[in-house]
Amino acid sequence: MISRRNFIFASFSLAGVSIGYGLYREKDFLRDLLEDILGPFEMSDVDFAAFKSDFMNNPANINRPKKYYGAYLIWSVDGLISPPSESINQKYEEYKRQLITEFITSTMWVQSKNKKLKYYRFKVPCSNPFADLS
Amino acid sequence: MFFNIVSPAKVANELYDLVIIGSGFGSSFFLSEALKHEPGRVLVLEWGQYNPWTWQIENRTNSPVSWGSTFVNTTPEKPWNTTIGFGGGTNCWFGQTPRFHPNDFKLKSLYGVGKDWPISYADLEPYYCEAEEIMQVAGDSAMGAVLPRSKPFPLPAHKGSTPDRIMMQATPDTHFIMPTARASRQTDTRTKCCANLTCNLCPVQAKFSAINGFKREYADGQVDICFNAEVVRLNSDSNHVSSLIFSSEGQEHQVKAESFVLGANGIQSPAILLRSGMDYAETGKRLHEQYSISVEAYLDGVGNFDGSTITTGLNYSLADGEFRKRHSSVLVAFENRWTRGFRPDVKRLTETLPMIIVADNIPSTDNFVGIDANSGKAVVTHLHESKYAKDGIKNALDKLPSLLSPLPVEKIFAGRLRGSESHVQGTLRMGLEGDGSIVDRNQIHHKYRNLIIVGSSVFATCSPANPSLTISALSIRAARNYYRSSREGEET
Repeated sequence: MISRRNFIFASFSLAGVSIGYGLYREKDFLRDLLEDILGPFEMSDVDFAAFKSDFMNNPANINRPKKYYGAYLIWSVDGLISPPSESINQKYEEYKRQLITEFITSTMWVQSKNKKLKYYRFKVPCSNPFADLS
Repeated sequence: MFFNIVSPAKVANELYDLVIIGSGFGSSFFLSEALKHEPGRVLVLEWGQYNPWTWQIENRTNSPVSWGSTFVNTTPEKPWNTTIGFGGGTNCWFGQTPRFHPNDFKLKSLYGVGKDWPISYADLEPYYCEAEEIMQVAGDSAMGAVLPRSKPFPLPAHKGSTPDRIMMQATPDTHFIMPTARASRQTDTRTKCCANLTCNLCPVQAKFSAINGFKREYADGQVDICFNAEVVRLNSDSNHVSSLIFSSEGQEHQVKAESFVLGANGIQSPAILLRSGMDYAETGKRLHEQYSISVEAYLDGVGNFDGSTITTGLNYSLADGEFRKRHSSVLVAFENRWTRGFRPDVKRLTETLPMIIVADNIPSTDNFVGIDANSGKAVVTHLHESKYAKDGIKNALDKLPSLLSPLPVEKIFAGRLRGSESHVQGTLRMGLEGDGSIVDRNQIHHKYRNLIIVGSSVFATCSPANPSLTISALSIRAARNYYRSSREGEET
């Protein structure tokens, strides 16, 4: 039987490895997460970097993306040890919603049939891609 | 925009026929009607400057003056939003234009709470039509079942979302398309709303504002306008205002007039009177606005966001009834915008319905505007929301599953309190002389009979409805009645 000390040590090690992995993945996790939710798309690295920068530094959502990325890391680590708490799940859900919403409304994702996307920056006029303006 | 801009030095010690303080809804609608009757010279004094629409869009703000700098808030947990600059609140508003409910005007006599207004819905109805015409309001004629109307809406209603259409089919007597001053089609002065969802900074000028709606009035040769002119105080004798003092770039100037219109906002208007020693009845008391919460429902198989503007539905299921003896009424707005984002499921992105539940409030003397004894600056204190409003929201949350029963609701998420609806109401209320009110049914000060007060500061009670259309209708009515009574006075 594993001792309590070894269990704690193993848990912390696992958490450390997971956080390190999460930080390592930060470069690509936004694109991965978007593709997980929305399916594959094409976008140049330059455009995606601009989107990522704006998303992470959007003054309208100051600190929120970083806070939610923290929630994402905790979620991924927490999930390895035990089911994530409701609070963490909720924050992660909010994070995903914010991410896909800003991506969809700044890239013509809805209108683009082949999903070869460009980044048009936030708050372009007429930003509701679902509105019936006929 | 063409103005007859005058410098402070030029108007100093001048005598005008009419001086209007402020240029927001109350002042601008008063001016528009006054110009039909007033043969003399009119001066508009605006604390802020003219911030052209292009400037506002480029700078992502309605004014360089931060609202927080214009008064001291002793209870900052409760924010109050205003816009200092030409057009005032017509710049930052979202363009929602529901009328008040007829019974909002007689809460006391019907339900034993709050106060009765000294005017009725029927008194105001023709002026609602005129204000709607000026704003080119788009609306749904079916709404006449709840809010009777003598004329059709000037523009056709916006397209509702799929949830709106389902609700309207199931409950046609209580669910309507939101009436709005966001154009549903091109007009002479505005483009069609394209659901850009940034109404405070409408990038296509679809929303009515003083800038696009009152160009002719402010360019009229009778009208002078002086910007950067902060009114410090009014000078009065026993029942008459003779002149006012305003400050510009550190210097004070005096201007005289036959009549004065006080249309700063609900914080600054009472502060001006208090600084002037015109502390009559409950001046500055009963500051209030609506109490509100945002809610979201996930839907199963029904998408949202396909309406043609930012807020598409307005539900009146809980707007009026005997329950108002116990708790507030509420209006439930169906949002065509993703306040919390799309759903994180590619097949169900739009299957969510954000709502805003807005309750009326009982104005209390515990919430008030005063002035700093040394600087004279407005000081706001708001100690509490009414239990009446809180109970109304609680009731609405309890009833929400039933209200939404025509929709395939999957889950309703807990609400989040909204800090403010950006309405500042009730500090110079309308009523009968001796009941604590400040102005009469024609918005003339009970004591100073050449002083007319306009804006939401004159509201006797709250309504869950947005105030701007009512402010505008009241101003048209006040101007017409003022000049009518002046003519009758001359004739007699």
